[in-house]
Amino acid sequence: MNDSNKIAQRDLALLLKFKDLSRQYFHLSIKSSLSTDELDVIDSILERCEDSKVLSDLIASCDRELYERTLFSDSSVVDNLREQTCQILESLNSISINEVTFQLSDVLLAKLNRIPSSEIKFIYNLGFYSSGVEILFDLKDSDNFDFLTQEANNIKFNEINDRFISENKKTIFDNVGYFDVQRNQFINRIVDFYSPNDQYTHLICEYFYISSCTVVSEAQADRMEEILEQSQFDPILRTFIAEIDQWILEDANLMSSEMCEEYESQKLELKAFVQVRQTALEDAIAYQLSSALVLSSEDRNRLTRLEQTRFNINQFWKNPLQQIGSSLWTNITDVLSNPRLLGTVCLTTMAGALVSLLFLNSKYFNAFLNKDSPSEQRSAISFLSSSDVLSADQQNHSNSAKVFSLQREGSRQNSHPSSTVLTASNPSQVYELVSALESGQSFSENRQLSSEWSQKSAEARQLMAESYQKFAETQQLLASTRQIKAEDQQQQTRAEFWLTKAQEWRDLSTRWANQAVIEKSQAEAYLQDSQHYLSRARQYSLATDAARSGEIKVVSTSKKEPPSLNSKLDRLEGGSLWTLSHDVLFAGHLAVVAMSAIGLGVSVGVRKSQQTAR
Amino acid sequence: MSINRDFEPKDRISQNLLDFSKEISDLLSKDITEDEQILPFILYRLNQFGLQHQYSSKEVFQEAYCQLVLDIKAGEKILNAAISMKRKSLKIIRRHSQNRTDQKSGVKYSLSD
Repeated sequence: MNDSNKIAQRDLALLLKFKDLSRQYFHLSIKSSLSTDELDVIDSILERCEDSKVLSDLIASCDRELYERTLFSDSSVVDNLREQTCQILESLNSISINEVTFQLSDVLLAKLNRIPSSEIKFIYNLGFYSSGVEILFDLKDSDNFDFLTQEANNIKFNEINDRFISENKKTIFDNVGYFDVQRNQFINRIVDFYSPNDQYTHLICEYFYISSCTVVSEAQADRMEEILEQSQFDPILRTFIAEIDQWILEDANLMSSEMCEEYESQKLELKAFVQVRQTALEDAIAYQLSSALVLSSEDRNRLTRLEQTRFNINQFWKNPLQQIGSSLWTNITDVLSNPRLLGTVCLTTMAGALVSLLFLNSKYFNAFLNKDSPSEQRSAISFLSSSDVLSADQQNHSNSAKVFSLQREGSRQNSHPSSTVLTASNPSQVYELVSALESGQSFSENRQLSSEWSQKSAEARQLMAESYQKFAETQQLLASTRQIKAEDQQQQTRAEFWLTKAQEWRDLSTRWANQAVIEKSQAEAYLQDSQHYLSRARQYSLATDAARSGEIKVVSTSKKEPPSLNSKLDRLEGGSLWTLSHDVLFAGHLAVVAMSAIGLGVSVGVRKSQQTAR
Repeated sequence: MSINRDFEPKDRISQNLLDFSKEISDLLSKDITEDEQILPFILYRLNQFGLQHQYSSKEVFQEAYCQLVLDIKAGEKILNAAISMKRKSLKIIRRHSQNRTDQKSGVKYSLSD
């Protein structure tokens, strides 16, 4: 009997405990979101269900009630969820929808009963568009994750599962507190936008996660910088990042109308800041450009002249001398090879010497020496080469030494790297020679170039002058701003000084006012005392008058008369004249004291009131 | 007189500087809802690093601008001014945060001594 009672009591206690557990389960299951501790509690309850049939029945009834109450009461919701889960599984495994998936979807429904439909849609979107299950398995939400990984194992996704379970990394969603409702819309929008470009999924999610964290670690900040750097070269990624930034800023309430006004005011200040630097930069560039233009125009003038002279000299001297040298060498070889010709050559040289003596005074050679025209010089050279090669060569070498020396000087100066400009004497000679040799076309071109460059240099000088003017103006402005600043500072110091003075005066006036109040009260007290003494003096005077008239009558005006006065009046009743006179004197003395006190009090009060008035 | 042979690279750098400053002033002249939202970005990062009470977004912007100008003068090429400003401001905020943690650790060390 005792045993059966004990068993019954134990069963009752267990039943009560199970009821408590089922109530707790029901209470937790109603909640839309659960913490990890609460999930642990639910897990422990479900574990206990396996051991106890009573508890499992209770939990099943709780579930039934829950389904009826909340999500699964509507059949359309259930159908929708079933369809979505099928789509998830289809995207995961690319398998067709069949009975297995339907069964699986039922199991999923049973497990996902605490997740709203938007969550499933969200999982579906991420899972579908990321062309894999990476982000899906990044979900570390305990029940769903474990279950999905288990199901993935069942449908042979071991490799993905193992990889992502072993990494055990934090998800985008667990650590971000504030995107609950809007995240679905946002991610849908993002996903719709970048669905053709799956390569950005991971980067965007990572950036989104790091940006949405309230506190960022060093490694995360590094990663963010890397993504930003990558976006510098990738316009698509840049747009995604801008989109994410905008969403996060709106979500963090940093884009409200008040904040926008503040940003606009800051932007105005920053614009002024940038504008000052931009104008300074433009001035510096204008100055640099103008100086470069001036230098380049002069240098280019000189360089063009130099190149032109070099070209002209080469053109003029190179070809004829080569021709002369080659013809001379061929003639000598021919003569030496043929002994018969040697004699004839000797005769012709003799004749040539005579002809050259005659030729020294001819017009061609004089024309060459006098530098008349290039055509004449060329004809002279051709004449020399045709008539007598040897004598002409000797004469030519002896007479054209000046030109060769000029050419050598010019070439030496050109080859020197430091001095790119000819000296004043030689270039002028060469230039004159070339200008004499060539036609007037090159000279006119040079003239045009030089005029153009001189115009440009003049413009550059003008620019320089303008920049100097601007510089002077900016200096003046700076000086004026400094003066204004100094004046402002002086005024500020003055204002501070007067402010401190005013504070001191205010403190003094308050102190005086307090003193005046105190002294006024004292004066009132003195006044009361004096009035009291005056009344007494009047009494004494009345008494003295009565004594003098012989009528010794004492009229007691108040019951609170001091005992000394009564004794004195008693003594007056005794008829002692001495005591009477003494009393009269005492009364007079009291009256004088009272009057003086009144005067003192009045004077003090008047003085203090004057001070307060000041 | 010598030929100014360094004219071209200097000119290129100056042109880059000018382009950058023009791009920044264009960004600043846009409406806040249309531009790249650099100032809100800086403010958000300051909040993220807990520096919103010590530095304003304007100060960080100015510092980032000056540092980018120095980078361009050193020869760096800026492809996108807005992204570069964001990167540079993030770097500056991180440096400030690092300095603050260093100061804090120094204070702790001195107190422990």
